[in-house]
Amino acid sequence: MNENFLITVLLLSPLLGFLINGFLVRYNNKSHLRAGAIATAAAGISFFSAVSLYFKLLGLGAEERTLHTVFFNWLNIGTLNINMGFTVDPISTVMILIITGVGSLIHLYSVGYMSHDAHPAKFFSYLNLFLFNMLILVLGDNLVLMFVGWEGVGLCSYLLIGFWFDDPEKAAAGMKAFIVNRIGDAGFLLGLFTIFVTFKSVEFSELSKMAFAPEVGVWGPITLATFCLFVGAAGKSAQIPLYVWLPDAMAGPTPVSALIHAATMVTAGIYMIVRLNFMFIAAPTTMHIVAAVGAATALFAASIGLLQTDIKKILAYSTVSQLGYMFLGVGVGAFGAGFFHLMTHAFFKALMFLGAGSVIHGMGGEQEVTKMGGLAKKMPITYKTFLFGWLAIIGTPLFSGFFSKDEILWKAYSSPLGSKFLWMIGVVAAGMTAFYMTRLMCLAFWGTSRVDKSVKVHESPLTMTLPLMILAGLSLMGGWVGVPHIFGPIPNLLEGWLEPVVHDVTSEGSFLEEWMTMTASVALAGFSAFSAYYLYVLNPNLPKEWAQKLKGLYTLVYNKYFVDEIYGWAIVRPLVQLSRGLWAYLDVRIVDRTTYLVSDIVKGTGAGLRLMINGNVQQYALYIVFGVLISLAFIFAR
Amino acid sequence: MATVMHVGLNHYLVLSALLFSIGVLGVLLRKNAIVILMSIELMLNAVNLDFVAFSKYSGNIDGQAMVFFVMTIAAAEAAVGLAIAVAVFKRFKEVNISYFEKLKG
Repeated sequence: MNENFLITVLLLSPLLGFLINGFLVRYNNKSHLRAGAIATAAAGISFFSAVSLYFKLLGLGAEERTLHTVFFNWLNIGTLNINMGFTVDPISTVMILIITGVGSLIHLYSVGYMSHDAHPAKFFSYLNLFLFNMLILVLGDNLVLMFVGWEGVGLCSYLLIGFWFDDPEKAAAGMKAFIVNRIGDAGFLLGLFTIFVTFKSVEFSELSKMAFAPEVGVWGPITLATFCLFVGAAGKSAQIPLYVWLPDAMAGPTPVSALIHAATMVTAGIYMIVRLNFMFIAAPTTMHIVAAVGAATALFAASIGLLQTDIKKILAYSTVSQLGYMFLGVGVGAFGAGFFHLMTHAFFKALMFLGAGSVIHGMGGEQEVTKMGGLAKKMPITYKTFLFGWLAIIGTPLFSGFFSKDEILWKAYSSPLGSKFLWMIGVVAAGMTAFYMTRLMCLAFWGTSRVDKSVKVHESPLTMTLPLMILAGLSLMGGWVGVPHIFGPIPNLLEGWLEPVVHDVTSEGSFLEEWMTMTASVALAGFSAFSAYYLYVLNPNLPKEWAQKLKGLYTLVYNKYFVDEIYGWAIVRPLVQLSRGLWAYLDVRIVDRTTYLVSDIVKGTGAGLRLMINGNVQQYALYIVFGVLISLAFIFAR
Repeated sequence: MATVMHVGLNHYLVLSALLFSIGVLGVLLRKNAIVILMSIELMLNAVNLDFVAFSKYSGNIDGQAMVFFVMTIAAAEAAVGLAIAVAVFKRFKEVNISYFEKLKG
């Protein structure tokens, strides 16, 4: 089939699903099966187009694996010429496979999850709209089109976080996500403008042809542009200091958390940096900032995750932390490794979120892990699949997370842009990850049951467990495409696939070092996992005692370092007060009064003039005579 | 003996201006619609006098031709105006100009 046709189907199928379901909302459609079937079919068709495009690319030679199609010329102003054009190349192919593949599974899962909801058609229409926007984001052949998708997914994220907007807390979470993302988006726009002003183009293909010499010194147009773009990425991908929206975003339905806030949308920042790798590599200052922010976020979020008790919040902080890993990877110039982790993370984190959703569904809406325990026997399929996710994220050898995380850590250690310090932070964060994930397993699935007697725990239906099983398989095998070369002759498929478009920094390091760093991180993760098991299953009273002893530290970490409170005190409250002041003084006293004055003048003049128009014909005639007299006087006076 | 006063263009113009002013005052001050119509007629004829006077003293016949048009228009205007006056009289038993206000809507 023709590639234009495939790209059209890929993009329009979710859009059509959105329109159909959006139309059904008008007719108050309560059937979750019908709405779900339409939406899942739309996502599935999209997935098949993506697979066909992948095979089409596979048939081409390694250097010419780019399919490009232009639908129409969108904007043409002066030197700015923007096409509605879409590029399918090795990077975007991986992305569209993840988006439509994981997306389809999550659509299928949602059919079961949303079965008791009052507005399934609305939910599925938003979900399809999200897929459409995400595909525009990754396929757009220029920065402006990417920004369109970037904003579109932000909108869908807002709509879906606040899906249950009857609850003011959830509606507020949606608004928080939207507003924090606006800050990042402003950065993205500034970066876009800088690129256009400096290079007179916003198209990726044209930009990539320009040979960027690495910028000398700390400052320059490329550094400025990439830094602004990174601010955008930090907003969308929840990095310090803009990560605060993601944990709150868990207010949305769990499939949304899995699709948007774990697997796809939040990785848009990584995707953008990988897409512009040729530009970021020319700005060493930005790269250092990216790596530092990524490492700091990985450690910071992981430490918050240690003490959370809401199952979705634990996973949310874990997502922030894992995104930090990806930024650490791309920040040290290992774009391929960061992208690899993006892919494996999409599998195992989507799996864990869906598993958590299955647990919440089976527990009748309970999210506190302290009220779970011993669920392994009652929800066997959910438990076994979750086990795969757990093994993957803590970096058990042969599971997907092991390969990708270790690649990032190794590059952080060996790359010229990396350092041993960054590697240390990464390893400590990996240890913490193993700890809090094992803690989650202990509290939810192992140990003794603390479930309330009134709750009837039940296993979820097949539409929910089937995606779990598929994702469990992917969490195991997803990493096998990127086996590092120290494991012998197994080819690193992903590296070869990305090689024509992604240019990693070459790192130097011996086999021995690579083995040693790998062993160190695996050993630390294993030790952390075991200590978590020891603390939460074998000696369940010990954590409470320790919490008593280290009360200050415990309170600090338990309350997420009071970051929300600090932001509220330092940024939100002054802003609100300033706005109130502006409202009460500037707006009411000056702006309003001025406009009232103007309108009063106009009204008074009108009232005066109205006295002249009284219906007395003779008076009108008098006006005419006066007019004639004045005209005559004017003529003669000259 | 009284010398025969030579009547020139200025005399005509002054007479015309006087007639026109009387007409204007009539339109502005009188309340009876019939009188107002008559005053309008007076103004039109003052203009006619100007036309004829200028025509005579410039030797050009155009002004005299124009007078016929003015007269025709004046006749039509008088017909319409009187018809309205009759209608108003039928309704109010008087043709005071103030009743014309009531014609709206």
